[in-house]
Amino acid sequence: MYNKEIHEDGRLKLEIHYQPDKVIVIWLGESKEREPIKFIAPVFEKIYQKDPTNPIILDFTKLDYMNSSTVNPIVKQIEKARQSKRKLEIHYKSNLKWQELSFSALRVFLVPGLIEVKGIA
Amino acid sequence: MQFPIPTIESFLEPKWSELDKLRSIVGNFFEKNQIEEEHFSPIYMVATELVENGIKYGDFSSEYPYISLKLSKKKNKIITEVKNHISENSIQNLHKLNAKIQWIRGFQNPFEAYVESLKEVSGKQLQEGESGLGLVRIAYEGQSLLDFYVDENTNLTIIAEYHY
Repeated sequence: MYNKEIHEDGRLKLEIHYQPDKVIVIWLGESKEREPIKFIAPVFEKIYQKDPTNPIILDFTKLDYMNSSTVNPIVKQIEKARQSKRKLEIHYKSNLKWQELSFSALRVFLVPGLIEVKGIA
Repeated sequence: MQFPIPTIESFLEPKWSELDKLRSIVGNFFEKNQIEEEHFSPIYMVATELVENGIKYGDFSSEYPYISLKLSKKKNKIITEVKNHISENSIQNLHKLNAKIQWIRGFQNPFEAYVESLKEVSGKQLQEGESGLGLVRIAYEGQSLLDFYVDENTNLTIIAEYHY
């Protein structure tokens, strides 16, 4: 199974790649809507419906900017994955200072083997 | 002899779409003052978060129906100031703002404050839209010291001072 979906809201684009062994969510552009959770939460509900078990990779390496309201739905997805014991990896670009600061802080939610946060050079 | 501080001031309408102008406003300020690009992201983030707050909590029915964004450079500091009118009865919000700034200052490292705020966000219900992360993110990711004042016309100015 390989399937790709694109969801857009304002300047934010989410590319969902359904692969046989994982789901990759690529974040592109800028997330600066007033309530980004209204767009992001339903996209993830759909992911859980289409593929309820495979690991999810949240790939932020191509994201240019996100506001603080975007952190909330990201944290919620981490929490959801932890509760449902679903593997989730966060990938960010470690040589972009804002990404290093923003995403490395999410290591507070790290659960070895389940919730991982990886800086990609 | 004192040299004038390189400053730019922009007046924005209290509309979310105005945020799209910030990248070029901050970019122009950097170009004009020949500031290294590595400082762009924190200042752009600080300006965006503060203007977002202005749009959310400002009162625009007054004689000051816009948000002012002022960027200035002083030696090795970049100062972002966002000003907007607030209603007479938003004193509660000012108390909250003051408490939040004091709370952030109470941490030796703003990273600790940010992590505490992340944990708080994690425990909130999905429906609760406000993350409350904006100011703490300015302190941590924006590496800025926060302060504010209210003038005699009930205009609130929030100041973020970035050292580099």
